[in-house]
Amino acid sequence: MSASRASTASAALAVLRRDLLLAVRRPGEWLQPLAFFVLVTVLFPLAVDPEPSRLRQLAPAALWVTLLLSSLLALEFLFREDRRDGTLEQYLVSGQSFTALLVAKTATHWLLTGLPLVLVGPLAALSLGAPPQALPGVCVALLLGSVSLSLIGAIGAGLTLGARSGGALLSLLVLPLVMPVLVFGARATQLAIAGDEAASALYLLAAIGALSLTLAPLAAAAAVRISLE
Amino acid sequence: MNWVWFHRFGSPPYFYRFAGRWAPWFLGISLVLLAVGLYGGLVLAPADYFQSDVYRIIFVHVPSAYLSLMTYTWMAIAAAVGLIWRIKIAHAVAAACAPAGASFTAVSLVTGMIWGQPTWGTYWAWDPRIVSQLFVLFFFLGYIALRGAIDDRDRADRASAVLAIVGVINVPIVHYSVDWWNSLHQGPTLMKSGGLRYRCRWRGHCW
Amino acid sequence: MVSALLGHNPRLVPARVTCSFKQAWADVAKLVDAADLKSASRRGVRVRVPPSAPNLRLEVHKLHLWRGDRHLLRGLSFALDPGSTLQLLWPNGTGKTSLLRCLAGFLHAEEGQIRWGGVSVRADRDAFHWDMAYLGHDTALKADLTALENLRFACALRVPRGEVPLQAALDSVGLSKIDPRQPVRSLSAGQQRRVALARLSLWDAKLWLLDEPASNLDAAGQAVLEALLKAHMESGGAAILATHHALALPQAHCRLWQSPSDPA
Repeated sequence: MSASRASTASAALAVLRRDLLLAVRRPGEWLQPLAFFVLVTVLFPLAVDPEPSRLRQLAPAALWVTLLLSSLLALEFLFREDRRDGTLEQYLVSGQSFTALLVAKTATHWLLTGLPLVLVGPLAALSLGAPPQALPGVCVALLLGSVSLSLIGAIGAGLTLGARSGGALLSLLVLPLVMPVLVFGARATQLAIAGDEAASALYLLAAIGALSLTLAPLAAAAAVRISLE
Repeated sequence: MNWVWFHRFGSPPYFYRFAGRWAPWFLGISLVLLAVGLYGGLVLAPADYFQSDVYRIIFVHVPSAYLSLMTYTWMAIAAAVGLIWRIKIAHAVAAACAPAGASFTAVSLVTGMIWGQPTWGTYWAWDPRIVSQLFVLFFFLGYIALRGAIDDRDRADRASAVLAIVGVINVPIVHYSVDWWNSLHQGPTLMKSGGLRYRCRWRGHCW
Repeated sequence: MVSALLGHNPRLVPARVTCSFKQAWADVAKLVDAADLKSASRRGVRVRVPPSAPNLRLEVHKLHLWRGDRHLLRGLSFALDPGSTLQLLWPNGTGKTSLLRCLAGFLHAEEGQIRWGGVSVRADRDAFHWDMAYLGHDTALKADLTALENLRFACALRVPRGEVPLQAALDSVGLSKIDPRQPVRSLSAGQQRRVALARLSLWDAKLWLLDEPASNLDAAGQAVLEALLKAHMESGGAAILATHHALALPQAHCRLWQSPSDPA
């Protein structure tokens, strides 16, 4: 018996650091959803009449539906590789808190796929005709929303780990769960673009974020644990 | 008190024998009650002053809406019981709830649409209740799809149980998010009494 | 709980009711435990047993395991002393992997007890996992990282920060000659297995659960495995191996188990 063990925090940090290293070695996984996001937001003005006032009306919906779809794309990568090569099994028997390690994984996933979207989002909003003074509000909404999307999405990613069909099932499970995020995120963006007070919608978005931060990791850990049975 | 008679239901063979013996009787009882209910709704109840006979769809619409949510709650409870105490029959109950609940939800949505056309002038309104009912339907479908997609039966039981529990937490959130979504136009006036009273009155109209 | 409500009058409370209450409460606590809440709080206040203390014996008592409709393990009982190994030679499909996965805690046994050092592993799963290392069919190595990076990560998960002889571990499994910048992807299957064995030696676990550890290994690789196992046993470690490869291990401390229906 070894006299001492690595603390949960340092183990979680190790998971985070290694996943970042892997992302540097294999950039496709996180660049693809980002490219998808940019591409689809560019397609919107082409599909509708690019008249600024109409675009501005459409911007919140376009931004948030695209954000939702690109984070769904990214979710497929969340646990799949680790499950395939047995890493998840080693996490489970490491003696560390399984939930904490999965939260570290989800955090890395958000850093790689959520944060870039938050950074690119304001540019996309500008291209859709949002005034510059709306950008702080849009940014905060995207930040809060993408965190919840990653956390709630992790439940779906965990549940579909052992399933035969991946992508379509994942969206069927996750989209109803993240619908409130879409509702409040789009509303906050809309209020910000219209120059109104967006705080009420942002508060609700933050509330959903807090709720998913506390409950979603437990459900995700239970789901992944079941897939390893 | 001796609970052995109750614990015996936890054993699948005993339960299936019991259920097989009683199912025809319950079918008979339910058919009789259905006939009584239909007679009461279609013949005994007088026509509504405003809506004449159109309102009679309420006798199908409201019970199926109730039943869909009740089945959903029941499914989540059974799933939790199965997950905590690893009782196989509880998972079987949860699995049996899903198709029944999905059809009740679909019936309540369809009858609501049929009723909405003559009374509201539209088949579909983005009312919180309608939208959350639609999402309940999606949950049921997701549950059924997840069960179908996992080959190992024990794992399918447990994974779908987690989904059912997550879903039952999510249903009120979905409901209130659509509810507040409509009122967010007014921003901070959300909780003012005027806003609430307005919504309550509207809700009275829906049913 | 009930008796508190009824003013501690024992006659009002049938013993059975309090029992079932306690049972239900324990079951809920178990679920919370599964969700990691409890073990996380426990971890903070744990007093570790000093290394010199008790006999870390693995005892399995009347283990029953079902997979779907198959009653795979029917009342399996055995014990494993420190410093000894148990090699499972059961025929294919009789539950070697399932037994190991059940011991490791992936699978839930319907009935039976697993004790480690006299304590049920269900009571403190983390403490058991801290003493245990599992090597399954999948090596859990990241194909895009080098062997050293993989080992460094594996150690960061379990061993406190400090000097860990990573390169020495690689040397000991005969991988001293590989290019240090080479990703694991470009190693052969046997070399990858050796990296996994090196990881095992770094973890300093008292109980090894090895599922087909000799697969893909050549004769030299098998010798590496045997040497690792010998060193592990000499330091008081125990191991359960599920493999049909004949391994040259000290006869006195190595038991072979031919079939689950035989007594262990």
